[in-house]
Amino acid sequence: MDLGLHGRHVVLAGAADAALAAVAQLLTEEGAAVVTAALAEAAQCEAVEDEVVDAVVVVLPPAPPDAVDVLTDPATLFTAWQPVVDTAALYRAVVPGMAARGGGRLLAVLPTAVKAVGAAGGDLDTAVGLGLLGMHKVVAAEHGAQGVTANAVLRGGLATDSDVADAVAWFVSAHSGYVTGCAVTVDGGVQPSVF
Amino acid sequence: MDLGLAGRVAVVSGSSRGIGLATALALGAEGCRVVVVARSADGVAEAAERVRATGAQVLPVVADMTVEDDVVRVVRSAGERFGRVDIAVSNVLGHVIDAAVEGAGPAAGRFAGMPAAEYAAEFAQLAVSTWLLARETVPLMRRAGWGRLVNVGSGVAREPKTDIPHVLPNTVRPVVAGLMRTLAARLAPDGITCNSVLTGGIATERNAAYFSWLARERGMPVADVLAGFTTDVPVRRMGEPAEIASLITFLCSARAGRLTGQSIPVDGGVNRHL
Repeated sequence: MDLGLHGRHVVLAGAADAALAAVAQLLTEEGAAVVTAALAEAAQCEAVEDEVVDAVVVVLPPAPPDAVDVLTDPATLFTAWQPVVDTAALYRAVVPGMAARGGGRLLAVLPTAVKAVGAAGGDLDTAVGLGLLGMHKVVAAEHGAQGVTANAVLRGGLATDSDVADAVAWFVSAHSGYVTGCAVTVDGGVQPSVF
Repeated sequence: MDLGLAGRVAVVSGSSRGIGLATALALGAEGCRVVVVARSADGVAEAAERVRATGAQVLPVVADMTVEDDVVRVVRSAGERFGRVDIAVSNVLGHVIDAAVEGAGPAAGRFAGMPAAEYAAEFAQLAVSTWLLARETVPLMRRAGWGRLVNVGSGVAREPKTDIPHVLPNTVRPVVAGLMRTLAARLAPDGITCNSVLTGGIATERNAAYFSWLARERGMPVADVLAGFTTDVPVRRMGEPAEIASLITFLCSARAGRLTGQSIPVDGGVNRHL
Protein backbone atom coordinates (compact mmCIF):
# COMPACT_ATOMS: atom_id res chain seq x y z
CA MET A 1 0.00 0.00 0.00
CA ASP A 2 1.38 3.39 -0.99
CA LEU A 3 0.71 5.65 1.98
CA GLY A 4 1.38 8.82 0.00
CA LEU A 5 4.03 9.93 2.48
CA HIS A 6 6.85 10.38 -0.02
CA GLY A 7 8.37 13.84 0.38
CA ARG A 8 6.06 14.73 3.27
CA HIS A 9 7.56 16.63 6.21
CA VAL A 10 6.82 15.08 9.57
CA VAL A 11 7.69 16.51 12.97
CA LEU A 12 7.98 13.75 15.52
CA ALA A 13 7.89 15.12 19.05
CA GLY A 14 8.56 13.31 22.29
CA ALA A 15 11.16 11.66 24.43
CA ALA A 16 13.91 9.87 22.50
CA ASP A 17 12.68 6.36 23.26
CA ALA A 18 12.23 3.14 21.29
CA ALA A 19 8.66 3.96 20.24
CA LEU A 20 9.74 7.28 18.77
CA ALA A 21 12.62 5.59 16.97
CA ALA A 22 10.29 2.95 15.49
CA VAL A 23 7.90 5.60 14.18
CA ALA A 24 10.78 7.63 12.75
CA GLN A 25 12.24 4.61 10.98
CA LEU A 26 8.97 3.49 9.39
CA LEU A 27 7.94 6.96 8.22
CA THR A 28 11.43 7.48 6.79
CA GLU A 29 11.17 4.15 4.95
CA GLU A 30 7.89 5.43 3.49
CA GLY A 31 9.74 8.42 2.06
CA ALA A 32 8.85 11.09 4.61
CA ALA A 33 11.36 13.68 5.78
CA VAL A 34 11.25 13.20 9.54
CA VAL A 35 12.49 15.68 12.12
CA THR A 36 12.52 14.57 15.74
CA ALA A 37 12.46 16.96 18.66
CA ALA A 38 11.71 17.03 22.35
CA LEU A 39 8.06 18.00 22.81
CA ALA A 40 8.88 21.17 24.75
CA GLU A 41 11.17 22.42 21.95
CA ALA A 42 9.32 21.09 18.92
CA ALA A 43 7.28 24.25 18.32
CA GLN A 44 10.54 26.15 17.77
CA CYS A 45 12.19 23.61 15.45
CA GLU A 46 13.32 24.62 11.98
CA ALA A 47 10.67 22.73 10.04
CA VAL A 48 7.94 24.47 12.02
CA GLU A 49 9.57 27.87 11.48
CA ASP A 50 9.78 27.13 7.75
CA GLU A 51 6.06 26.22 7.66
CA VAL A 52 6.63 23.05 5.68
CA VAL A 53 5.12 20.58 8.15
CA ASP A 54 2.62 18.08 6.72
CA ALA A 55 2.21 15.95 9.82
CA VAL A 56 2.93 16.15 13.53
CA VAL A 57 3.20 13.05 15.67
CA VAL A 58 3.43 13.61 19.41
CA VAL A 59 4.52 10.56 21.38
CA LEU A 60 3.68 11.14 25.02
CA PRO A 61 5.79 9.38 27.64
CA PRO A 62 3.73 7.85 30.45
CA ALA A 63 3.29 10.01 33.56
CA PRO A 64 4.57 7.81 36.39
CA PRO A 65 2.95 8.77 39.69
CA ASP A 66 -0.44 7.64 40.96
CA ALA A 67 -3.07 10.27 41.65
CA VAL A 68 -2.95 9.41 45.34
CA ASP A 69 0.78 10.11 45.41
CA VAL A 70 0.40 13.55 43.88
CA LEU A 71 -2.20 14.58 46.45
CA THR A 72 0.79 15.61 48.52
CA ASP A 73 2.28 17.87 45.87
CA PRO A 74 0.12 19.86 43.44
CA ALA A 75 3.21 20.77 41.43
CA THR A 76 3.25 17.21 40.13
CA LEU A 77 -0.11 17.87 38.50
CA PHE A 78 1.27 20.81 36.58
CA THR A 79 4.28 18.77 35.53
CA ALA A 80 1.97 16.09 34.18
CA TRP A 81 -0.15 18.72 32.44
CA GLN A 82 2.79 20.38 30.67
CA PRO A 83 2.74 18.03 27.64
CA VAL A 84 -0.79 19.25 26.86
CA VAL A 85 0.45 22.85 26.88
CA ASP A 86 3.42 21.90 24.71
CA THR A 87 1.23 19.96 22.29
CA ALA A 88 -1.17 22.90 22.00
CA ALA A 89 1.77 25.18 21.21
CA LEU A 90 3.11 22.78 18.58
CA TYR A 91 -0.26 22.26 16.91
CA ARG A 92 -0.94 26.02 16.90
CA ALA A 93 2.42 26.62 15.27
CA VAL A 94 1.82 24.18 12.41
CA VAL A 95 -1.92 24.39 11.69
CA PRO A 96 -1.90 27.69 9.74
CA GLY A 97 0.78 26.35 7.38
CA MET A 98 -1.07 23.06 6.97
CA ALA A 99 -4.32 24.88 6.25
CA ALA A 100 -2.63 27.11 3.69
CA ARG A 101 -1.23 24.08 1.86
CA GLY A 102 -4.47 22.09 1.79
CA GLY A 103 -4.27 20.04 4.96
CA GLY A 104 -2.23 18.00 7.36
CA ARG A 105 -2.22 15.34 10.03
CA LEU A 106 -2.00 15.79 13.79
CA LEU A 107 -1.59 12.61 15.77
CA ALA A 108 -0.91 11.93 19.44
CA VAL A 109 0.35 8.60 20.73
CA LEU A 110 -0.96 8.18 24.27
CA PRO A 111 -1.16 5.39 26.83
CA THR A 112 -4.37 3.32 26.93
CA ALA A 113 -4.80 4.60 30.49
CA VAL A 114 -6.56 7.48 28.76
CA LYS A 115 -9.62 5.25 28.42
CA ALA A 116 -9.30 2.96 31.43
CA VAL A 117 -7.73 3.40 34.82
CA GLY A 118 -4.74 1.10 35.10
CA ALA A 119 -4.31 -1.55 37.79
CA ALA A 120 -1.20 0.25 38.98
CA GLY A 121 0.04 3.72 38.12
CA GLY A 122 -0.74 5.93 35.17
CA ASP A 123 -3.57 7.78 36.89
CA LEU A 124 -2.37 11.10 35.57
CA ASP A 125 -2.20 9.66 32.05
CA THR A 126 -5.94 9.21 32.27
CA ALA A 127 -6.60 12.78 33.30
CA VAL A 128 -4.04 14.45 31.05
CA GLY A 129 -4.75 12.24 28.05
CA LEU A 130 -8.45 13.05 28.19
CA GLY A 131 -7.50 16.71 28.05
CA LEU A 132 -5.60 16.03 24.84
CA LEU A 133 -8.49 14.06 23.34
CA GLY A 134 -10.83 16.93 24.17
CA MET A 135 -8.48 19.38 22.46
CA HIS A 136 -8.24 17.05 19.45
CA LYS A 137 -12.03 17.09 19.05
CA VAL A 138 -11.96 20.87 18.87
CA VAL A 139 -9.05 20.97 16.42
CA ALA A 140 -10.84 18.33 14.30
CA ALA A 141 -14.04 20.39 14.26
CA GLU A 142 -12.39 23.76 13.66
CA HIS A 143 -9.82 22.72 11.05
CA GLY A 144 -11.46 19.77 9.30
CA ALA A 145 -12.69 22.09 6.56
CA GLN A 146 -9.03 22.95 5.84
CA GLY A 147 -8.07 19.30 5.50
CA VAL A 148 -6.36 19.09 8.89
CA THR A 149 -7.20 15.95 10.88
CA ALA A 150 -6.46 15.22 14.54
CA ASN A 151 -6.41 11.68 15.90
CA ALA A 152 -4.87 9.60 18.66
CA VAL A 153 -3.35 6.14 18.88
CA LEU A 154 -3.61 4.68 22.38
CA ARG A 155 -0.87 2.17 23.07
CA GLY A 156 -0.80 -0.39 25.81
CA GLY A 157 -1.08 -4.05 26.67
CA LEU A 158 0.89 -6.23 24.29
CA ALA A 159 1.57 -3.55 21.69
CA THR A 160 5.19 -3.35 20.57
CA ASP A 161 6.88 -0.19 19.33
CA SER A 162 6.57 -1.61 15.83
CA ASP A 163 2.80 -2.15 16.28
CA VAL A 164 2.49 1.48 17.30
CA ALA A 165 4.56 2.66 14.34
CA ASP A 166 2.41 0.67 11.88
CA ALA A 167 -0.79 2.26 13.18
CA VAL A 168 0.80 5.72 13.20
CA ALA A 169 1.84 5.27 9.58
CA TRP A 170 -1.71 4.60 8.43
CA PHE A 171 -3.17 7.42 10.51
CA VAL A 172 -0.77 10.03 9.09
CA SER A 173 -1.12 8.66 5.55
CA ALA A 174 -2.92 10.20 2.62
CA HIS A 175 -5.64 7.58 3.10
CA SER A 176 -6.89 8.77 6.48
CA GLY A 177 -8.44 12.10 5.43
CA TYR A 178 -11.98 11.10 6.45
CA VAL A 179 -10.88 9.96 9.92
CA THR A 180 -10.67 12.74 12.45
CA GLY A 181 -11.40 13.20 16.14
CA CYS A 182 -10.78 9.49 16.60
CA ALA A 183 -8.83 7.57 19.26
CA VAL A 184 -7.91 4.00 18.37
CA THR A 185 -6.43 1.57 20.86
CA VAL A 186 -3.56 -0.74 19.92
CA ASP A 187 -3.12 -3.14 22.81
CA GLY A 188 -3.82 -6.65 21.59
CA GLY A 189 -7.37 -6.43 22.94
CA VAL A 190 -6.32 -6.16 26.59
CA GLN A 191 -8.61 -3.27 27.50
CA PRO A 192 -12.06 -4.84 27.82
CA SER A 193 -14.30 -1.87 27.09
CA VAL A 194 -16.56 -2.11 24.02
CA PHE A 195 -15.93 1.53 23.04
CA MET B 1 4.23 -0.18 3.06
CA ASP B 2 4.14 -3.95 2.62
CA LEU B 3 0.98 -5.15 4.34
CA GLY B 4 1.91 -8.83 4.14
CA LEU B 5 -1.40 -9.71 2.49
CA ALA B 6 -0.11 -11.56 -0.57
CA GLY B 7 -1.88 -14.91 -0.94
CA ARG B 8 -4.39 -14.30 1.84
CA VAL B 9 -7.96 -15.33 1.05
CA ALA B 10 -10.63 -12.73 1.74
CA VAL B 11 -14.40 -13.14 1.74
CA VAL B 12 -16.04 -9.74 1.25
CA SER B 13 -19.80 -9.67 1.51
CA GLY B 14 -21.81 -7.02 -0.29
CA SER B 15 -18.89 -6.50 -2.64
CA SER B 16 -20.74 -5.71 -5.88
CA ARG B 17 -21.00 -2.01 -5.02
CA GLY B 18 -19.97 0.77 -2.68
CA ILE B 19 -17.80 0.06 0.34
CA GLY B 20 -17.75 -3.71 -0.28
CA LEU B 21 -16.52 -3.30 -3.85
CA ALA B 22 -13.90 -0.76 -2.81
CA THR B 23 -12.71 -3.20 -0.13
CA ALA B 24 -12.51 -6.09 -2.58
CA LEU B 25 -10.49 -3.90 -4.96
CA ALA B 26 -8.13 -2.72 -2.21
CA LEU B 27 -7.52 -6.24 -0.89
CA GLY B 28 -7.05 -7.52 -4.45
CA ALA B 29 -4.48 -4.82 -5.12
CA GLU B 30 -2.54 -6.02 -2.05
CA GLY B 31 -2.37 -9.55 -3.44
CA CYS B 32 -5.31 -11.17 -1.67
CA ARG B 33 -7.40 -13.81 -3.38
CA VAL B 34 -10.91 -12.40 -3.16
CA VAL B 35 -14.31 -14.04 -2.84
CA VAL B 36 -16.74 -11.49 -4.29
CA VAL B 37 -20.20 -12.00 -2.82
CA ALA B 38 -23.48 -10.19 -3.42
CA ARG B 39 -27.13 -10.92 -4.15
CA SER B 40 -27.21 -9.76 -7.77
CA ALA B 41 -25.69 -12.10 -10.38
CA ASP B 42 -24.97 -9.21 -12.74
CA GLY B 43 -23.46 -7.16 -9.93
CA VAL B 44 -21.19 -10.03 -8.85
CA ALA B 45 -20.02 -10.71 -12.41
CA GLU B 46 -19.21 -7.05 -13.04
CA ALA B 47 -17.44 -6.58 -9.69
CA ALA B 48 -15.47 -9.82 -10.13
CA GLU B 49 -14.19 -8.50 -13.46
CA ARG B 50 -13.03 -5.27 -11.82
CA VAL B 51 -11.31 -7.07 -8.95
CA ARG B 52 -9.60 -9.44 -11.44
CA ALA B 53 -8.21 -6.35 -13.16
CA THR B 54 -6.14 -5.68 -10.02
CA GLY B 55 -4.34 -8.94 -10.79
CA ALA B 56 -6.17 -10.84 -8.05
CA GLN B 57 -7.58 -14.33 -8.26
CA VAL B 58 -11.34 -14.02 -7.78
CA LEU B 59 -14.12 -16.40 -6.83
CA PRO B 60 -17.50 -14.83 -7.62
CA VAL B 61 -20.43 -16.16 -5.57
CA VAL B 62 -24.05 -15.06 -5.78
CA ALA B 63 -25.48 -15.28 -2.27
CA ASP B 64 -27.57 -13.52 0.36
CA MET B 65 -25.34 -13.31 3.45
CA THR B 66 -28.35 -13.00 5.74
CA VAL B 67 -29.39 -16.54 4.75
CA GLU B 68 -27.67 -19.29 6.73
CA ASP B 69 -27.42 -21.80 3.86
CA ASP B 70 -25.91 -19.13 1.64
CA VAL B 71 -23.22 -18.19 4.18
CA VAL B 72 -22.32 -21.87 4.59
CA ARG B 73 -22.14 -22.30 0.80
CA VAL B 74 -19.96 -19.19 0.31
CA VAL B 75 -17.37 -20.25 2.89
CA ARG B 76 -17.39 -23.87 1.68
CA SER B 77 -16.84 -22.66 -1.91
CA ALA B 78 -13.99 -20.43 -0.79
CA GLY B 79 -12.37 -23.32 1.07
CA GLU B 80 -12.74 -25.65 -1.92
CA ARG B 81 -11.34 -23.12 -4.36
CA PHE B 82 -8.52 -21.60 -2.31
CA GLY B 83 -8.00 -24.08 0.55
CA ARG B 84 -8.33 -21.43 3.26
CA VAL B 85 -10.11 -18.30 4.45
CA ASP B 86 -8.01 -15.70 6.27
CA ILE B 87 -10.18 -12.61 6.12
CA ALA B 88 -13.94 -12.14 6.42
CA VAL B 89 -15.47 -8.72 5.90
CA SER B 90 -19.13 -8.58 6.93
CA ASN B 91 -20.86 -5.84 5.01
CA VAL B 92 -24.62 -6.22 4.98
CA LEU B 93 -27.30 -3.56 4.71
CA GLY B 94 -29.87 -3.16 7.41
CA HIS B 95 -33.08 -1.17 7.10
CA VAL B 96 -34.15 -0.16 3.63
CA ILE B 97 -34.95 3.36 2.52
CA ASP B 98 -35.38 2.66 -1.21
CA ALA B 99 -35.96 -1.00 -2.12
CA ALA B 100 -35.18 -0.24 -5.78
CA VAL B 101 -31.59 0.59 -4.79
CA GLU B 102 -31.06 -1.56 -1.70
CA GLY B 103 -33.19 -4.65 -2.28
CA ALA B 104 -35.41 -6.29 0.31
CA GLY B 105 -35.16 -5.52 4.02
CA PRO B 106 -37.09 -4.02 6.93
CA ALA B 107 -38.43 -0.55 6.10
CA ALA B 108 -36.85 2.48 7.77
CA GLY B 109 -38.96 4.22 10.37
CA ARG B 110 -39.31 5.84 13.77
CA PHE B 111 -40.06 4.20 17.10
CA ALA B 112 -43.72 5.21 16.91
CA GLY B 113 -45.31 2.93 14.37
CA MET B 114 -42.41 0.47 14.04
CA PRO B 115 -43.81 -3.08 14.33
CA ALA B 116 -41.95 -5.14 16.93
CA ALA B 117 -41.25 -7.86 14.36
CA GLU B 118 -39.09 -5.43 12.37
CA TYR B 119 -36.54 -5.36 15.22
CA ALA B 120 -36.12 -9.10 14.74
CA ALA B 121 -35.73 -8.55 11.00
CA GLU B 122 -33.05 -5.89 11.52
CA PHE B 123 -31.29 -8.09 14.07
CA ALA B 124 -31.27 -10.95 11.55
CA GLN B 125 -29.94 -8.69 8.78
CA LEU B 126 -27.11 -7.11 10.72
CA ALA B 127 -26.22 -9.17 13.78
CA VAL B 128 -27.08 -12.74 12.83
CA SER B 129 -25.44 -12.39 9.42
CA THR B 130 -22.21 -11.14 11.05
CA TRP B 131 -22.34 -13.99 13.55
CA LEU B 132 -22.95 -16.56 10.78
CA LEU B 133 -19.97 -15.39 8.75
CA ALA B 134 -17.80 -15.59 11.87
CA ARG B 135 -19.16 -19.03 12.77
CA GLU B 136 -18.30 -20.39 9.35
CA THR B 137 -14.88 -18.76 8.91
CA VAL B 138 -13.41 -18.91 12.42
CA PRO B 139 -12.70 -22.67 12.36
CA LEU B 140 -10.62 -22.17 9.19
CA MET B 141 -8.79 -19.22 10.73
CA ARG B 142 -8.16 -21.12 13.96
CA ARG B 143 -6.61 -23.96 12.00
CA ALA B 144 -4.22 -21.45 10.41
CA GLY B 145 -3.62 -19.57 13.68
CA TRP B 146 -4.33 -16.31 11.87
CA GLY B 147 -7.45 -14.44 10.94
CA ARG B 148 -9.15 -11.10 10.46
CA LEU B 149 -12.82 -10.31 11.00
CA VAL B 150 -13.98 -6.83 10.08
CA ASN B 151 -17.51 -5.53 10.27
CA VAL B 152 -18.60 -2.58 8.18
CA GLY B 153 -20.74 -0.90 10.79
CA SER B 154 -22.24 2.51 11.33
CA GLY B 155 -21.51 5.53 13.48
CA VAL B 156 -24.91 5.03 15.13
CA ALA B 157 -23.34 2.12 17.01
CA ARG B 158 -22.03 4.85 19.35
CA GLU B 159 -24.13 7.89 18.59
CA PRO B 160 -27.72 7.29 17.55
CA LYS B 161 -29.26 9.51 14.87
CA THR B 162 -32.56 10.86 16.10
CA ASP B 163 -33.33 13.50 13.47
CA ILE B 164 -34.27 10.88 10.88
CA PRO B 165 -36.30 7.61 10.96
CA HIS B 166 -33.48 5.45 12.26
CA VAL B 167 -34.80 3.41 15.16
CA LEU B 168 -33.78 0.04 13.70
CA PRO B 169 -30.06 0.73 13.13
CA ASN B 170 -29.91 2.82 16.31
CA THR B 171 -31.02 -0.30 18.16
CA VAL B 172 -29.09 -3.01 16.35
CA ARG B 173 -25.80 -1.41 15.23
CA PRO B 174 -24.53 -1.19 18.84
CA VAL B 175 -25.33 -4.87 19.18
CA VAL B 176 -23.07 -5.72 16.25
CA ALA B 177 -20.22 -3.62 17.68
CA GLY B 178 -20.67 -5.43 20.99
CA LEU B 179 -20.65 -8.79 19.24
CA MET B 180 -17.43 -7.94 17.40
CA ARG B 181 -15.83 -6.78 20.66
CA THR B 182 -16.80 -10.04 22.35
CA LEU B 183 -15.41 -12.07 19.45
CA ALA B 184 -12.18 -10.06 19.72
CA ALA B 185 -11.79 -11.10 23.35
CA ARG B 186 -12.51 -14.77 22.68
CA LEU B 187 -10.47 -15.10 19.48
CA ALA B 188 -7.36 -13.09 20.33
CA PRO B 189 -5.49 -16.19 21.60
CA ASP B 190 -6.02 -17.77 18.15
CA GLY B 191 -4.34 -14.89 16.32
CA ILE B 192 -7.67 -13.61 15.06
CA THR B 193 -8.46 -9.91 15.29
CA CYS B 194 -11.99 -8.50 15.18
CA ASN B 195 -12.73 -4.85 14.48
CA SER B 196 -15.58 -2.63 13.41
CA VAL B 197 -15.37 0.33 11.08
CA LEU B 198 -18.09 2.82 11.98
CA THR B 199 -18.98 4.54 8.73
CA GLY B 200 -20.78 7.83 8.26
CA GLY B 201 -21.31 10.17 5.32
CA ILE B 202 -19.78 7.92 2.68
CA ALA B 203 -20.73 8.62 -0.95
CA THR B 204 -22.41 5.32 -1.84
CA GLU B 205 -25.49 4.58 -3.95
CA ARG B 206 -27.21 3.68 -0.70
CA ASN B 207 -26.52 7.09 0.80
CA ALA B 208 -27.57 8.79 -2.45
CA ALA B 209 -30.93 7.02 -2.09
CA TYR B 210 -31.07 8.19 1.49
CA PHE B 211 -30.45 11.82 0.57
CA SER B 212 -33.08 11.63 -2.21
CA TRP B 213 -35.56 10.28 0.31
CA LEU B 214 -34.66 13.00 2.80
CA ALA B 215 -35.12 15.67 0.11
CA ARG B 216 -38.63 14.39 -0.66
CA GLU B 217 -39.44 14.22 3.05
CA ARG B 218 -38.35 17.82 3.61
CA GLY B 219 -39.59 19.21 0.29
CA MET B 220 -36.08 20.46 -0.52
CA PRO B 221 -33.74 20.00 -3.49
CA VAL B 222 -31.27 17.11 -2.96
CA ALA B 223 -28.35 19.53 -3.40
CA ASP B 224 -29.59 21.62 -0.45
CA VAL B 225 -29.96 18.53 1.75
CA LEU B 226 -26.43 17.45 0.82
CA ALA B 227 -25.03 20.92 1.45
CA GLY B 228 -26.74 20.97 4.85
CA PHE B 229 -25.27 17.58 5.66
CA THR B 230 -21.71 18.40 4.69
CA THR B 231 -21.88 21.68 6.63
CA ASP B 232 -22.22 19.54 9.75
CA VAL B 233 -19.25 17.35 8.79
CA PRO B 234 -15.97 18.79 10.12
CA VAL B 235 -14.09 17.96 6.91
CA ARG B 236 -16.98 19.44 4.84
CA ARG B 237 -17.36 16.64 2.32
CA MET B 238 -18.69 13.16 1.83
CA GLY B 239 -16.19 10.34 2.25
CA GLU B 240 -15.21 7.95 -0.52
CA PRO B 241 -15.68 4.17 -0.28
CA ALA B 242 -11.92 3.84 -0.95
CA GLU B 243 -11.23 5.67 2.32
CA ILE B 244 -13.12 3.01 4.26
CA ALA B 245 -11.46 0.30 2.19
CA SER B 246 -7.98 1.56 3.02
CA LEU B 247 -8.61 1.31 6.77
CA ILE B 248 -10.15 -2.16 6.38
CA THR B 249 -7.12 -3.24 4.35
CA PHE B 250 -4.79 -1.99 7.05
CA LEU B 251 -6.83 -3.75 9.75
CA CYS B 252 -6.57 -6.99 7.74
CA SER B 253 -2.84 -6.62 7.29
CA ALA B 254 0.01 -8.36 9.04
CA ARG B 255 0.81 -4.98 10.59
CA ALA B 256 -2.39 -4.81 12.64
CA GLY B 257 -2.08 -8.04 14.59
CA ARG B 258 -2.39 -6.27 17.94
CA LEU B 259 -5.10 -3.89 16.83
CA THR B 260 -8.26 -5.69 17.91
CA GLY B 261 -11.58 -5.07 19.61
CA GLN B 262 -11.81 -1.57 18.17
CA SER B 263 -14.72 0.37 16.70
CA ILE B 264 -13.12 3.01 14.53
CA PRO B 265 -15.17 5.88 13.15
CA VAL B 266 -14.53 6.94 9.55
CA ASP B 267 -17.00 9.76 9.26
CA GLY B 268 -15.21 13.03 8.59
CA GLY B 269 -15.20 13.83 12.29
CA VAL B 270 -18.97 13.74 12.87
CA ASN B 271 -18.66 11.58 16.00
CA ARG B 272 -18.62 13.61 19.18
CA HIS B 273 -17.35 11.09 21.72
CA LEU B 274 -13.81 11.25 23.09
